[in-house]
Amino acid sequence: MKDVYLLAIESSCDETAASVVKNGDTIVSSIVSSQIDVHKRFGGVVPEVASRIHVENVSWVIREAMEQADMKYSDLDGICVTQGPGLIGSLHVGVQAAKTLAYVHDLPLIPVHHISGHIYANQFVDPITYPMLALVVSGGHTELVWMKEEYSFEIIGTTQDDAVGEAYDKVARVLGLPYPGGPQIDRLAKEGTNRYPLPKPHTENPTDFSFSGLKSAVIQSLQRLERRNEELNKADMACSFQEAALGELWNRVEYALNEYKPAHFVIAGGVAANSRLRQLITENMKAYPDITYTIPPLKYCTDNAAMIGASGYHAYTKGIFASEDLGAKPSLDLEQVGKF
Amino acid sequence: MKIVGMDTSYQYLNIALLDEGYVDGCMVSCFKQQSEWMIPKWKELMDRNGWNPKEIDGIVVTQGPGSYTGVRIAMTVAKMVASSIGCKLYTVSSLQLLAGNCDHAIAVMDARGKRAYVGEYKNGKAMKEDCILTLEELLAYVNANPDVTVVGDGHLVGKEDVFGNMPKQFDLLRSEWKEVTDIDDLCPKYLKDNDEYLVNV
Ligand SMILES: [Zn+2]
Repeated sequence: MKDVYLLAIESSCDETAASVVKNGDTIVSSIVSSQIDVHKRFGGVVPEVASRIHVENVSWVIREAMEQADMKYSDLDGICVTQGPGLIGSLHVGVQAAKTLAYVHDLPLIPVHHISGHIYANQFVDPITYPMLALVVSGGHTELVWMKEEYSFEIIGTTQDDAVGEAYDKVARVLGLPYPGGPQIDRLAKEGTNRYPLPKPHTENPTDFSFSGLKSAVIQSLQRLERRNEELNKADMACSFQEAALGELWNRVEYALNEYKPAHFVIAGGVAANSRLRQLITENMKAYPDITYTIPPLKYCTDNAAMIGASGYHAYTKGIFASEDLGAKPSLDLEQVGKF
Repeated sequence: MKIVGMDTSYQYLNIALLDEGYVDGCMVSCFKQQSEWMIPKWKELMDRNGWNPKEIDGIVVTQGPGSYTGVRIAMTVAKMVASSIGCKLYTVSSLQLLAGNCDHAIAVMDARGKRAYVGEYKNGKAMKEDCILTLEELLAYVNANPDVTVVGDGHLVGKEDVFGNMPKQFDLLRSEWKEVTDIDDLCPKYLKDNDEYLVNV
């Protein structure tokens, strides 16, 4: 079969990214322009500011991806773009850029779900086998996704309140750590011990998650220490919180592995970059020698466009194309992906 | 010289095809739908006139002020076309486009929050920098200039709304187009600062 080259564009949150991907599993080029330094000033992502920076970045990021790949538009087979979910103003810029390029260069336009991209980033490491279970963990998502076959997504567990990355950011804030909080807690936890008792969250469904109780427990614990005039050991609190949060993730994964018996298990999303989570998964998966498991490279855990090209390849082979009136969808439903 | 004019800064989607003069255009009222309509409408015009997007010589786009999301739509299209086919890129102010080549006009656009974007133009030439005024300031300004025509959102000062043939006005403003030297550097003129959003955090 002829090689398939796709240009992918991602702008759903605070990274403007473009990438050329070959056959869904080989990265030819990948450019990511992060806005993190700007948003640090604001202590979080400010949607209007993010949209403004996307417009400033969009043309050079895409041109750079094409130049690094040493490709002309006539060498491409299609343009993939994140249609959602994400910040509406941010999504608009990428979607508009993709529609323009598809029209001007007469290429098929391929709409991609951001989370499907995170999941398929694992394709850069291992070929995916089905059925597959994916743990999606990021600032906006905490989901267990069941894929009985290629490009079919069923959400079997989700958070009842905060996403795990969100809980990390909030706890980091109360501990006085700078934004973004996740990597800070991960780093600090290495110097601490798990000695502050924190509760186990309860959910009706054994594959669902809940993190707001854990976050409140950390706050209460800090208040208690203050009342007793006891000194807070930040590293110990970071470690206690991280062990509790990641322990909860693993409990749900373990239940799903036993119940659903996938052939392949992957983790995906920004929190998949967490060093303790990676270690925990590697240790615990020793008990499941029959299940292939994949952890994406650090670079492809956080938002990038290569992952959109990886997922877009499946849409391309299935003939899932969009017309030029494609609109950005801030709350695009993962379960509708691949369905007509 | 085949040039395409694009404006999505406010409630209309304006597209113009220009060659030696005005060739064809559309002015569609589609506030908040410009992103969906932009490419299909442009394509329709191009096909109708037998133009190929890869063969255009330049784009002229409005740089704002206007709806934040709106201004970004045409600008994203313009930057991507110019950077991917290597054609020229020009800008005009969206208030300037509103005024066209009117003898002397105050161009007004609702900026919400009881404020308006305001520009003053004589035969297409800016008499002062585009700015943002409160509605009281705008009213005082209009009253102090009774002989000047108000175009755009006239209702904000008790006058009629006036929106001319905006696609054609791209052509009438030819001498006012500003050539963009660095396409990547081009960004909208919002007239409101980033720091305004600090309060939302
Ligand atoms: Zn993401």
